Amino acid sequence: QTVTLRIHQFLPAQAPVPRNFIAPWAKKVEEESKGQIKVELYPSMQLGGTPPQLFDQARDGIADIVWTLPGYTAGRFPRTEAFDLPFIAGNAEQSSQAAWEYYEKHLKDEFKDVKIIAVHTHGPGLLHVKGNGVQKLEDMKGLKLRGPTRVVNQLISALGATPVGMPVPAMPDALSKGVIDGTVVPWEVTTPLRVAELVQTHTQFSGNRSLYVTFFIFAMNKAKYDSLSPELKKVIDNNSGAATSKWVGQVMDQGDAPGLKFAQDRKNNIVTLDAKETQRWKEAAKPVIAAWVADMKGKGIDGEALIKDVEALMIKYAGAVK
Amino acid sequence: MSKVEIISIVSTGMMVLIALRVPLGASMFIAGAVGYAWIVGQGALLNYLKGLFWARFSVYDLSVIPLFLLMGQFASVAGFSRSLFRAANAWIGWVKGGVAHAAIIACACFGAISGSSVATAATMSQVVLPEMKRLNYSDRLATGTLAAGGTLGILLPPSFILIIYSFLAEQSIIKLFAAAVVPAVLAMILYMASISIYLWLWPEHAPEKTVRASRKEIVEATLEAWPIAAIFLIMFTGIYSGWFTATEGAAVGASSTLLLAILRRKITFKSALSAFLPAAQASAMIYTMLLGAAMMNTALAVSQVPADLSAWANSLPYHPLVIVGGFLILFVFLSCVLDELAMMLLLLPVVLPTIIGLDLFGLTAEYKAIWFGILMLVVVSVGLIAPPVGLTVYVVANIAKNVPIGEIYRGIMPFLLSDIVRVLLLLFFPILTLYLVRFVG
Amino acid sequence: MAEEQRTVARGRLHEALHKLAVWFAYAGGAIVAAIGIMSAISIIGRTLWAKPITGDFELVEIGIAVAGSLFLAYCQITAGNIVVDIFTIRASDRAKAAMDCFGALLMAGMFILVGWRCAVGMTEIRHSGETSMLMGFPIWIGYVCVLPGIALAAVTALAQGLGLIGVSERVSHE
Ligand code: NA
Ligand code: NA
Repeated sequence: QTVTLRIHQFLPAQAPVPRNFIAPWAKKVEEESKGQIKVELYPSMQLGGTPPQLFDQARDGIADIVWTLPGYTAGRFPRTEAFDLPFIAGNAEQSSQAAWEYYEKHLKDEFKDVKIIAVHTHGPGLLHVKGNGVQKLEDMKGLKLRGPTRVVNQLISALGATPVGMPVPAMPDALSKGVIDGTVVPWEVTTPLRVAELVQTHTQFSGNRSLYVTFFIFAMNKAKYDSLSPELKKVIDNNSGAATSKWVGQVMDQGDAPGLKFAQDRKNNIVTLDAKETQRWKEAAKPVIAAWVADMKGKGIDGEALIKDVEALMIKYAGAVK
Repeated sequence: MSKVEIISIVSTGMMVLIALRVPLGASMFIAGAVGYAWIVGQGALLNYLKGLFWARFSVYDLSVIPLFLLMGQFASVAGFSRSLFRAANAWIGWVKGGVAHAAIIACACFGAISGSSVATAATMSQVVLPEMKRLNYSDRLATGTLAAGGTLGILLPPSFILIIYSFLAEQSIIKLFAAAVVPAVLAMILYMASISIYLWLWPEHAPEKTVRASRKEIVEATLEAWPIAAIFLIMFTGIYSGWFTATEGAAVGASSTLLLAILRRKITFKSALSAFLPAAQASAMIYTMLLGAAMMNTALAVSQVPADLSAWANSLPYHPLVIVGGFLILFVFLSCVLDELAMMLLLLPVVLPTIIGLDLFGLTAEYKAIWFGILMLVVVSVGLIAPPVGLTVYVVANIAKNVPIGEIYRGIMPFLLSDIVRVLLLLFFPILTLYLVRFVG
Repeated sequence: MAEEQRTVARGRLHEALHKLAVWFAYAGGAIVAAIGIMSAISIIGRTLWAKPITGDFELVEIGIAVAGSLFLAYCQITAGNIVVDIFTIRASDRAKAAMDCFGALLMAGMFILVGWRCAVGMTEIRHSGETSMLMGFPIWIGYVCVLPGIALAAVTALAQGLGLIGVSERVSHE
């Protein structure tokens, strides 16, 4: 009697995480189960619905496992947003390890409807803007930028630009048509969307903390997990947790490299703001953190304590703030 | 029971429902729901349905459909089709068969602001048929010209078939619109050539001589028609090269068409309201079909049949073009019995992965998807005039009540022949389709 | 006499549902027109002052879903849905009428199923507190707004399926 697991997610099969994490993970599980588990991969939303509906699909058993961003459903998983805050996380490997520990301490309740296999973040998010782009904080004024999540959109506002909300697939068109002047994404996303062909300047920050990252989950339907034999449960457990989260983080960091190289090959302008200028951005971003803490307070959540914990975890995995 | 068997059973059930006059959206929905519940389970089906309506109706890229429909309706209500025809006729109506040529040009112009062939054929027939009758054109040539000209409505952007294809195939609508331009212009030229050859062989179908329009008439007619052309130009320059998304282009087009109609006092509050109704009907028809197709596609996906078929087709020992040609012929045959939109919704989930998997002229996946989308559009447009069920033929027959349908099909023949030439050209020379795509996006 | 009364009642029900469907369609059309104007304003704002309307894309998505739902009943009562009739050309009028009732019942089944599940989805999304990204608009309100349209379409299709009103009484668009 074999068990079939359907893994559903929104990116094409060739994207870094589906290719270098989800597919090998599936293969590993199949092998360790000695053929008792069969995994079916459904990339590009093949099982229907929209990316924001992915979490509910795992909860409801429409898919057995999903890979998604809690940030797609704004307001629904407030505690995960601590990782979306500006200049709090770092590269994906370090942040993903911190994210797992943070999950164990704070997020069990928010994700109680599913079995979490791994949590992780993407690599450092940065600015990709047309023309001369952003060389200093003042250049943000008047720019129309697409942001991925609620918190990042607030950050864009706080830094003086205008956030424009749109689905990811619409972004390349919007960039080439001037509907937006730029976008904030990690390097990894720039390759499939050909962002480096559409903008001329990429702006990153010095130090070991990044402008923003986004929180991801790799989650399984609870009833499906409970229905497994103890032996198969062990296979899933052996492929869950801190090590698995670190693995996805590594895949994310590796996914950044081709994006950076492509931009370099095109002779795009890659600006790294120095420590002094980066510090100005951190100051400018503070109201976003304060607003988030106030927002959490309204929901009965101690946001400041959560931030302290994330900061401590980041020091543990990435070292002191530089 | 295996997944393949389940899918075969529910697909057969769907065909039975369709044959029993059950609306296509409901047929696909019921069959898909049964198949999904059978493969995955009833509970999963009920959960899936919780988000289905919102997932299919709140789609930014599909909002262009009601907007373009509304724009076409405003243009019809305000009588812009008449202005377009008058201008085209003033310029070339005097040559042999000139009114037929003018009708094709006016159909193309109207098609450039309307997304639908039915609307184009209906609107232009009302304007042009009486004029052709008055000038002693044969019924055969007159109705054939309009049924064929109507297909330019979906060939030229905006085009509902292309909008829905872009959504299903996840391709840029702007690139697809750009890709459609050369094939559509080619269609227009070949249609006009067909008229000329036809009248050279059978001159008695058109009057020998007509009066040349005076310079004043030409100037007046052109002045009346140019703002409509201007709207079209603003909309598509904006979409292709400058400032807005397809949805925003449609929004600008619809607003400015309404504004022009108001300025010319061609529209009242009441007639503007009445323009909502056909737009509402057609949007709901399309959205319902998309809802049903979503259910059926999800059932197909969990059956993994499309992936298996794609692998099988790739293992066939034929030249890739033979497989593409085979699909196109299948489409032509199916268009005899199925609605064009339904055909696309039903077959695309199975056909597209196969096409993307083939090695075609070394094209990238994106270009293969765009090229095949246009080929499919062209085949669909041929299906609109091909017997036994040509949708635009019915539309024209509905207006030319005294002309037997067989006579219209006879009139269609020269145009159908030119369509075959066009399909072959586009099949063997992808550059015709893809040339303009490089300049956008 | 009874027959006559039934015909009158049929006509009245049809007229009432038709009128309601037309009003729904007008409302949906007004939303589409509003979306058009809003997009045009947003383009002007973004071109001239780099200030688009915040959340314009979200507004389009929510508005278009509501408008689409409001169109359903009008399409249903005017027999706007596509059917394939080539296989039944030779069938008797009675047989065709019976098939059309059957088709309307299946349409009603689809609308009822989808509407019911959408309502359930609405309560869950309300509970989970999901909002749109930029405006913070609660998504469950969008779900609520599509329910009347689906409900009217379901009622219309059911009335057609049960033979309370005619199925294929087409209304011209003059
Ligand atoms: Na068109
Ligand atoms: Na046909």
